[in-house]
Amino acid sequence: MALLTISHLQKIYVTRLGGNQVEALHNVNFSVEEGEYVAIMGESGSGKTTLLNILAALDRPTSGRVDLNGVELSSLPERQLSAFRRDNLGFVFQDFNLLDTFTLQDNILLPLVLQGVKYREMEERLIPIVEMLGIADLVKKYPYEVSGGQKQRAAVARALITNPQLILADEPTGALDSRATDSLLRLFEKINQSGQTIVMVTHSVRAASRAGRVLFLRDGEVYHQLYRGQLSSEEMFARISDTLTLVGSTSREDGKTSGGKEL
Amino acid sequence: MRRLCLYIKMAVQNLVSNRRFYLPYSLCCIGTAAMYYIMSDIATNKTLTFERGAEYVQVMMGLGIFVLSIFSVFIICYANSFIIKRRRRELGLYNILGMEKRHIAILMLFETVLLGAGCILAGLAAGMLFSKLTLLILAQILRFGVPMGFTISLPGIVMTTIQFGVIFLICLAVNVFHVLRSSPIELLHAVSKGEKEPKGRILLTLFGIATLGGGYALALSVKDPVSALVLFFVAVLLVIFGTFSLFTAGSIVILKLLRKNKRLYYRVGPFTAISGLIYRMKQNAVGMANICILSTMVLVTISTTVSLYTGLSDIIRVQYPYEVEASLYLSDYDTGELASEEMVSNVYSKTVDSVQEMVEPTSIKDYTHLEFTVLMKENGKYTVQQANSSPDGSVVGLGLITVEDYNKLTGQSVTLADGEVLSCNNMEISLDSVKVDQFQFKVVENLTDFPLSNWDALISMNNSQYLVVADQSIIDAMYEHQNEIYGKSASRMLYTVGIEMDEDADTRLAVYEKVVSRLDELMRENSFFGYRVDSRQLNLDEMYSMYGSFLFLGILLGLVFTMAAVLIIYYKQVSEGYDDRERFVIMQKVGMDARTVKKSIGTQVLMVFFLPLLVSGVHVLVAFPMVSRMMQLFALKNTGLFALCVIITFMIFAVVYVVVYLLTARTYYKIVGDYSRHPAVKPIGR
Repeated sequence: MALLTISHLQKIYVTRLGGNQVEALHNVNFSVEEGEYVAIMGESGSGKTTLLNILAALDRPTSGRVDLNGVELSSLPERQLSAFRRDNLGFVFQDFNLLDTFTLQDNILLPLVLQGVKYREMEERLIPIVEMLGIADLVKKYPYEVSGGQKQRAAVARALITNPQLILADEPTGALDSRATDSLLRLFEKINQSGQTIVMVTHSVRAASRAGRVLFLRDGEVYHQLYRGQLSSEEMFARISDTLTLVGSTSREDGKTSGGKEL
Repeated sequence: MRRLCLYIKMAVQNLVSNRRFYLPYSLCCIGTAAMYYIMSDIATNKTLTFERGAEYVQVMMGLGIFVLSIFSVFIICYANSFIIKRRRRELGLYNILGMEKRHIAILMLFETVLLGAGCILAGLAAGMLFSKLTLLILAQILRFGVPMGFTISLPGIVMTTIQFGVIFLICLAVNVFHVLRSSPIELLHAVSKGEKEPKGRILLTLFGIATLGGGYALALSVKDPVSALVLFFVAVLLVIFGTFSLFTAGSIVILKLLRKNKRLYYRVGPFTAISGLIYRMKQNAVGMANICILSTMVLVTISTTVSLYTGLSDIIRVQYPYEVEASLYLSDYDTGELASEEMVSNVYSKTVDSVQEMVEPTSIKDYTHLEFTVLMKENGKYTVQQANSSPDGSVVGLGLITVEDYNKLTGQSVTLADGEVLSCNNMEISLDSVKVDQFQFKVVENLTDFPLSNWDALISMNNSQYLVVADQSIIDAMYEHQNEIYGKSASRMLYTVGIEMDEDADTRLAVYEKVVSRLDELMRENSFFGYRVDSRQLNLDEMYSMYGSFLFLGILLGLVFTMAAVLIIYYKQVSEGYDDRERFVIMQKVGMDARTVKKSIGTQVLMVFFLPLLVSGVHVLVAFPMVSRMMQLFALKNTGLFALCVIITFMIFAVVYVVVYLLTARTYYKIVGDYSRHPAVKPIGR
């Protein structure tokens, strides 16, 4: 059974002054197997962020359902949502979202503190993770004292420390330079190889080309998907670029006829 | 011309769009300017000088203007620096969009001129509006009438305009310097800059503990009023240093110690609270220390002046035991010739006769006493010594009266053997024996209450020691003794007739006038001995204007200090709000539910805002013994009254503080709330 199943997801916003309705998600269907590394691509306004917010249980769909490991998210009462998020999901954000009141170590440990884990166990879990991420020397520093790449590593460590079922990454390379981007993407591959499921939303072809599968979202629908299979990163990069060119030149109505092969 | 219009338009737009900062700023400026106008109006008002006691008011107002002119510079500059910090990003943006720094400086000049002129004009208007009301309140407090009609004070307008014009120019200079000095990138990122850990917190904490401890120790250990007065300012300075360093460094050291305790720290409540407070204290410590000092100043000023004013009827009875007192010096100043028995009885009969012609006195007492200054070497050991610049001992006013007169005054029938005395002093020293150079006495009883007040001691603010001796010959001998040492400046014995009556104020004054004119006649006929007549009523009026001006000044300054504290609290809330709104969002994303986040942040905000009030409460409590000693200098011995005034003042102030907090908290939650919700759109469905 798939770890994450999304079926017939629809999301409609109304502007605050009423009247105008905007359909952010039209009809989204896909599933993610355990241990997969999935990238979701799409242009601005394609519904990426809305989809991620719903996956993260930060927002509720208008209709349709999301199942994570047999639990239907919209069935959870509001009170349990934060606990559910913290126990099952790990987040990596574009702008890191580290709290400047905490040192890196405390930022990383925050989810464990919220879970009520004993300090000894916290330390045991912290050390291997920060060593793997190469930030063991920085944990006593505050976020404003370290570089962007280092902040993002700390954010990854915070996402990993609860051993979540799923890591959700929202444009994780968006605020990083190319060197930091490369090393973060290598890190994601490494984490994925150790069995961690990752769903990443991104603009960047380079970031997506490292994933095992790429979903293309347009006008609130999954328009196309590519499996990496045995392709190298470079070949995958080319395939993604081609698809994006195609997506960019067609609209939703004629997209169904000119769409690429389904794999 | 078009460019000028553009600048003005931009300046107005900037002021309006930053009204969240500029509105409270200008309200504070207007309030201070109005207060300044009112004070300078009263200080220079010509119609007022004809009123009894007006000179006290004007001297007090001069003092108030001095305090206010220094204070207003500080508070307005503080608010200005807060605003300019918040506006750096905006100014940096102008710079990047192509405005030269020169242009930004001109823009700021226009802003300052518009804002400054507006505030000064509004302040003057408010001042004129309220000056009449203030004058009426003042008249009520001082118990005199005010001339009717509405007046505009030209000196007031000029002084206020100059004072606040200069302040706004200073602010402009600071702001322009700020902009010229920094690069646009610096300006853009200034707001989001984190803080480096300063070194030497431990040292500063130790300094804080030492100074605060020293100040507290001084306040608690001081025994006599004069050293209380002298050391009060030392203690105040120590406590201010201590407060500042403990708020800035001490708080962080304590919180960091708590953070070191891993078991305690890594739990949900303490985890967010301790780290949040460390961050907040770094940002807010100076502001909090300011609020704390201001609150303490308000509390001490108001409670002392109120209790002095309300305790006036007690004070006057200590200083003037009788309604009308006629006193005759028993020796001639130049020749040393002693007054005859006949003259003494003449003074008695003239005084009593002239009173009895007008009213029926309730009691008539007469007595002879001697007062002179001595040095106290140790408890109970006094010596008569020519005063020099560095006396080796504390100066004490020594008073002597015979047991016969003492019995007459108190209605008791005490008997004393030779060499025995009754002792009464205001130093809270219980004595077994008293020695004044070669004169030795055994103390039979230490009295707490005495029918006379030691005049010289009261006036020169020295401690006093009274002795009731067995016989007039002892007083005569001591008179000779101090006469030999002091020579020309020796004290003379004083014969006093004291009369008490139940009449209204005007009658009492009339009786006093009559006694004065009668004794004047008598003394002109006889050889010239010094005499003096005191009226309690006359002095009461005088003191009402003196202490009333104290009270009035206390209230005005208290208002200004409160206003400043409110402004600081407001700005703190606003900056907290901007800092906290991102934190709200992140914490929710990481898995804390909104209610816990809100509760945790709410608790921290509460602690940050009420810690200053709490600490100022402690300051006032510790200052209490010292201040109540100082009040003894003003002859206020009613400690209970003072305590009551302190408690009531504190309670009123606390209520004001809470109300201000609640009002500003609304702004805070508005800022935080705006961004913790989805900014523009609202989802359909649930």
